Formats: sequence, C-alpha cells, structure tokens
Amino acid sequence: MAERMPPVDVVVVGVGWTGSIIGKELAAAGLKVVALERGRDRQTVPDFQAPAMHDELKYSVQYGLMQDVARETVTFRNHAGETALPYRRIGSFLPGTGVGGAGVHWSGAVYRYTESDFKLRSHYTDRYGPDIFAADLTVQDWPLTYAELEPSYDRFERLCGIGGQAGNIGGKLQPGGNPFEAPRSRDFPNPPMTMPYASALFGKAAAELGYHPFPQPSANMSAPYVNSEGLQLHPCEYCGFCSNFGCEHFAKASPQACILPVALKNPNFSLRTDAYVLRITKTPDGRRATGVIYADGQGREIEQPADLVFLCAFPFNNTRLLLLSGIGAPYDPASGTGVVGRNFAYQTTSSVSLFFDDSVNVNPFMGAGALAVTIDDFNGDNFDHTGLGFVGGGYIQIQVVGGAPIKYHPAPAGTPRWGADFMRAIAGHYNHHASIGTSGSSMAHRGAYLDLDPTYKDAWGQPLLRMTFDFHDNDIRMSRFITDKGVEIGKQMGPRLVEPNYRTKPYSVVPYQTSHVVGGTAIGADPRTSVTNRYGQSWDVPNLFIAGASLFPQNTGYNPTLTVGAMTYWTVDAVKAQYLKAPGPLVTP
Amino acid sequence: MIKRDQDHPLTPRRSVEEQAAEVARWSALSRRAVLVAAANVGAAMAVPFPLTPQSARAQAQASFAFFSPDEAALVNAIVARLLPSVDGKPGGTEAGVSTYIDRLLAGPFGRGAMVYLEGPFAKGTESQGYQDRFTLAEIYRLGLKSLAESVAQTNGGQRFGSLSPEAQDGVLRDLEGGKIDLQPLFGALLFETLYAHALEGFFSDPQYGGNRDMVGWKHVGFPGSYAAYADWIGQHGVRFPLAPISIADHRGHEGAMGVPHAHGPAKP
Repeated sequence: MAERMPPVDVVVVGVGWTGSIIGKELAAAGLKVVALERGRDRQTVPDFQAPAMHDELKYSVQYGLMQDVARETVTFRNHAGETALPYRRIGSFLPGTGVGGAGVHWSGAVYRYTESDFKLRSHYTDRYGPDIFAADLTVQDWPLTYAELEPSYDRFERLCGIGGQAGNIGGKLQPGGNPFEAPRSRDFPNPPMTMPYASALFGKAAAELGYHPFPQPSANMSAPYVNSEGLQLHPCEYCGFCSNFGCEHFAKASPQACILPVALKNPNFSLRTDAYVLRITKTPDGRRATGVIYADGQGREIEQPADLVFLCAFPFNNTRLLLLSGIGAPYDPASGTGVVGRNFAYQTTSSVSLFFDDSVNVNPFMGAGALAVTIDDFNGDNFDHTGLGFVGGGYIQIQVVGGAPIKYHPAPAGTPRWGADFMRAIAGHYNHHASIGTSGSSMAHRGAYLDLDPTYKDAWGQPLLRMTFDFHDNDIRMSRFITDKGVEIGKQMGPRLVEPNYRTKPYSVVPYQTSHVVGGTAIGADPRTSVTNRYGQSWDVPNLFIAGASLFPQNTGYNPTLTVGAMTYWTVDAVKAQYLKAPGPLVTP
Repeated sequence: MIKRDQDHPLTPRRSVEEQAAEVARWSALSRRAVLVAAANVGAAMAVPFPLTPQSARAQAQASFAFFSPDEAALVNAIVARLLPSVDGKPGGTEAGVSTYIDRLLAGPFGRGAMVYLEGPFAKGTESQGYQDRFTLAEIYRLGLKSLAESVAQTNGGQRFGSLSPEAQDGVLRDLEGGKIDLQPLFGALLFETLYAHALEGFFSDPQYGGNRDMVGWKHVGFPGSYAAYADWIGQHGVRFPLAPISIADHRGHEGAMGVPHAHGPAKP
C-alpha cells in the first residue's frame, strides 16, 4: 500500500526546463505545487564549480551528469522485425537526470522554428504537391502557428538571455542576421558572442559563395544580464567545458541559473528529489488523473494526489509514463492506429572534417557550447525542393565547443588508429583542424515508434521503453545534399584536406550523434493522430498536460530547447487563462 | 604577445623560469611560438622531456590495486605499442596509462557502473552496441589471461613483452581484428576496451593516475584546465602560448557570487 501524501493542486513530473517553468508559474498563480525529480538536487554552487568541473573524463566520457543506465535505460532495434536489446552503454544520445535535467549539460544553441516548420505537411503540399511526401511519412502540421507562439519565444529568450544577431524584426530584414528567420517582435536581449577563428573562417567562405552566415543564437551569455526573473547571469568565459558540463560561471542559461531560485523562494512550491514516478493514478473510469505514485529514495511507494498533473520529463519518459499508466491508445505500426509512441523522430547529423596547414592555429579548446557561425540557406524549406527527392533540410555551421582530447584528437582518414604514425598524426593535426557540422531534420515515419519492451525491466521492476528507429531514406538523401554543401564551403576555406562524413543507414546507438530525440506524445489537431491538443493537454485525460520535446510531431534541423521553452509558456498561459477558470478540455475535437 | 603578471590571481603557480622552459617547449611545434617566447621571456631552447630507464623501472614496480604483476606487465607492454613514445616525446607508458586503467578497474566503473547489465543477453546487431555481460574488470581479467595463453601457445611459451616490436604489433592487429580467440570474450572486445582506456589514461586529468606531468596534453597542445579564454577567443590564429595546467594546479580566488573559485590564464 502506498503511503498517501496530502493532496496538492499540481504535481509536476521532472524538474528540467519545462517543470521549472510550470512549477514557478503555477506557484506564483497561487497553486500548491509539488515538483518531483527522480535524480538528485544539484546547484551551480557547489556542484558545478571549478576546478573540478574541468574534467573531461568525468563528465564527457563517464557521463557524470547523465541518466544512470545501469538502473533504467531503453531498448533499441532498427525495425520491428528485430529483437530490441538494451542500450547498455550511453552512446548516440545522452538522457539527462537530476534537477535541471538536460538543461544543465546542454550546449545552449537556440533557434526559433520557421513559419513553415509549424505547417510542414500543408506547406510542402501547397508548394510541391502531395507526392513530395513518401507514403510512409507520418509527418503532420502543428496545431498552432509561429505567429501564435512568437510571444512565448520572446519570453523564453528573455529568461535565458539569448545572445544573437536578429535577422528579421517585424518583417524588416536586419544586416548580419539570418535572413530566413521568422519575424521576431524585437531584438535578442544580448549581442552575439565573440566568434572563434574556425567559425569566422567558415562565415567568410560561406559569404564568398553567396550564402548568408550569421552568429548562432546562444544561451551562453555574451554580456552581464539580469533576466526576466531578476536573476543575474555572467559573461561566458569560453572555457571549453560546456556541452556535457554544468556551467561554473552562471553564464550558460539553466533552470538553476534562470528560474528555479524564484520557484524555490515561493512557499507554494516544493521540490522533492529522489522521487521516481512509477505511474499516473486515475479515477476508475480513466477520465481523470488523480495524482501520481512514486518511489522515494528509500524505495517506499508514495502516492501524491493532485488536481492537475504535468508530465515534464524527457521524451522517452513522458511517453513511457503514459504507457505504464494506460493513458491513450498505444501506437500499432501494423495498422497505423493508436497514438502513444507514434511520431518518434531523431535528428540527422553529419560532419565535414577540415585539415589545415600548420600556419592555421585553430585553438579548438577555446569554445562554448553554442559558439558557432551558421547558414540556414538549406534548412527547412528555405530552398527549392523541386526534384530533390526529399522534404526537410538542416543548418550547416562551424561550432567550437571545446577541444578536450580524449574525444577530440583528429587525424585524416587512413591514419592508423595506434602506433607511431597515430602519435605523430594527432600531435600534428590537433591545432590545425576544424569540423563543419550539419544538423538536419528527421521525418516521422510509420516504422519509427516507442512502446514498452516485453522483456527488459528497470531497477523498479517496470518494463523499459522500446525504441524502434532507423533513418528514413528521405532523411538520408537530405543529409547527403546538405553535407555536400558543407563540402563546398569547406573547400572554399582553403584547407589541405576536406573529408565528408556522410550519415548512412542503419542508425546505430553507438557513436554520439545528438540527444535531440522527439515525439512519442505528439501534439495535433486530431485525436486519431495525436496525444494532446494544441495546448499540450491530453485528449483522454483533460487534467493531464504534457510539456517538452515529446510533443513534437517530427523534428526539424534546429536544436529543440527554444521551442520546448516557448511551448511550455504557451501551455502554462493556457492553463492560467483558460483551464483554471473552467477546468475541462480546452479544445473540442 | 605574452604578458605575464605574477601577482595576478589568475596566474598559475609557477616560477618565471619554469614558465619560460614550458613556453620554449612549445617551440618544438611552432616557429612563431619560438619567436614569441624568445622576445618575451628570453627562454633557452627546450630540453627534451627526460625519458630515463629509471622512470620505466619505477613504472614497472608501481603497486597496482587491481592488476596482478603479470597483468600489469602485459598491459604495460601493449600500451607501449598502442601509444609509443615518438620523436623524444613521452608515450602511454611514461604517461602512466596502466596506473590509470588499474585505478579505473578497482573502482565503480570496473564493477559495472553506468552499464545496464541485466539479462537476457543476445549478440544483437552492430547498431545495438555493447551486448556482452561483462563488467570492465571482467573483460580485463578474462581477456588478459586468454591473451597471455594464446601468445604463449603460438610463440613457444614466450610472453607478449619478450616478442619483437613487430611481432607485438602483429598480435595487436590480430587482436583488433577479432582474430584471436579470447573465450569467453567475443572478437575485439578486449582490444577496443584497452584502446579506449589507453586514450583516457593518456589524456585525462592527472588526478586519475595517467597523463603524468600532463604529457598527453603537451603531446597535442591542449592547455588543460585554464578554462577561461574570454580574452583569447577573438585573437584569431594566435597560438596559445602557455604550458598546460591540471585541476590540481589551480590556485583559488573569489569568483562570481563570492564563491571560492579557480582558473584562468594571463590575458593576451
């Protein structure tokens, strides 16, 4: 029998960006909020402080801030004909855990979606005809527009202190910015970061070729900044220990730096760590959530009753909790029916390695997570797709995150992996190498989905989530196309050697690619193809809301966090303005 | 240009002479740095890193927490071929890679931390990644024993360490290609594990037992733990001239929010 806690108004599952925003906002609105985090508490001071944070082994290799996959992981297979096996070691994606979630160890690259990203199917259909989509692509429009989300984008940018060069303010193109940017109501709160050498060389070459380079919008502070919650952020030190690390300087936006201190000051808000949510409880008819059951640090089952439940975990965990709780119809790939676990997508990345002469000193160890010059000329539908054989696109950039050498010791293809020639090669190339990266879209398709694994269990005895995924040929063609554009720019930069690393099938969980997994609880206008309505409200259980990238019906080439944050403000505003006044479904299908 | 301020709280704890020698060491890699160093600190040419028989003996006699003496000798001999000393610069042996691996295996990662080791076990596809049931410690204990036996069997009872360097490389190539049967381990598991750990031991912070005197970082030119380049990031193409520092080299100062805090090179 679970021990029963006193009922509260709101229970939040997961305390990363989305849970912190929802918790803070609803506590400020006068509701009693309990926020449950499965991991431990951690704060900038003392947990992310120098010099201990400058430790590549602990954080980038041994994944000191990531989910402990010994206790809970996912299982994986490329297609439904295989037996899924556990993701035993962390590899291609890095699930976060603990207070702040992946918002602690993220990089801080923040892009707004384009207007057409929100109406992917109808936009391409209108411009190119319906046949541009392969028959098994299950991509769908978002049930809201860019214009509707714009104020929430702006709000999250002010929370995070984003530095960037505006490309389009109110429809007026701005010099030096991204000309493909959707219109923003005002400029970024901070100027762009100082660009490193390799990124500057990339920008120069791209401009020479007629493309439109711009500084990547960044949540690494370019200047001292007091954010929209009155919290002080400090300028980035370009320390090179950013992605995979917590920021010692209060210089990378994180829930801890940007919003949690405000929530924690409010007596309406309480944070419980080591609270591993097992399932959502429901009324006997299944039409209402009554709270959650979690296992505490001592392994006791605790019931937390609440009037409103918010799922604010990683896409895997939001989807898994719905499946474990029997909420929503699980997706069945054979019939194409059901919705929970449908529209799971990844991101299609590639790179181009550039080896320069010894006279070009790149200093790869000076960097920051989101420090990059980017072009968007081949992202989304910013270019004519006629005859190309794919939908979607991606950005191309040089981003200099840091050059810690366990993982970064480049050598040209054909160099032996060990021995004297290897030792000479890594010594000779380390400071004279740069890498162009592409980040491309990932289209939801019929054979890519999440469900519960029939065999493997977590440390609490519950089924693991099973991930069935391979890249669709559409995305492989897209990635080839944009990687070749990267090769063109790379050659223009004048290196000795240009080596493309194309993305190929099958998808493998071994090499790191990106942690941007999306979908599983897709947002939509039709309950037959989505889990939530346009506000992230469950179609089946109206007092259950879902936040985060699990809502995305497919993935763009952009980093998801800005859209995740904007969607969270969009949801919490709808709850405050509409739901609390008249609890019930906010959309009638 | 290098300007150094010994009183600056960010200045690493080294004498001017030590700094000069370190800066000159960079000169082996860059003519520009020679000129910069000569102009600024008047450094003499660098002495090559001392690679003495004594240090090799000390390494062999080091005490190990996990490895048996035979295992340690075999790992040392393999590491010396994977990451050899070249051009007078220290390699994996001198860096203490085997000490790093020994400590790793004696700790939680040796016993399976951060790896899902629940069954059932199946071979799986390449895309599905690691599917064996072994902890890192087991991979070494089982694999090194099988390897030693295999080498002895095919080389008239000789140990790996007493084979010629060419013969050692031949064994390692076979190991890498999964051509040596290391039952119960599959294929190249031992090789890939050892290879990954050799790089970790060469390049991780010295606090973990490898990368002694930061020789791995000096090998490629990674300056380690400074972690403050706001004044350098816009200096395009200028080689960072300072020798590396490790986590233990930091001297604290009051940083943001009044927190004791440490790092940072001098300004350019």
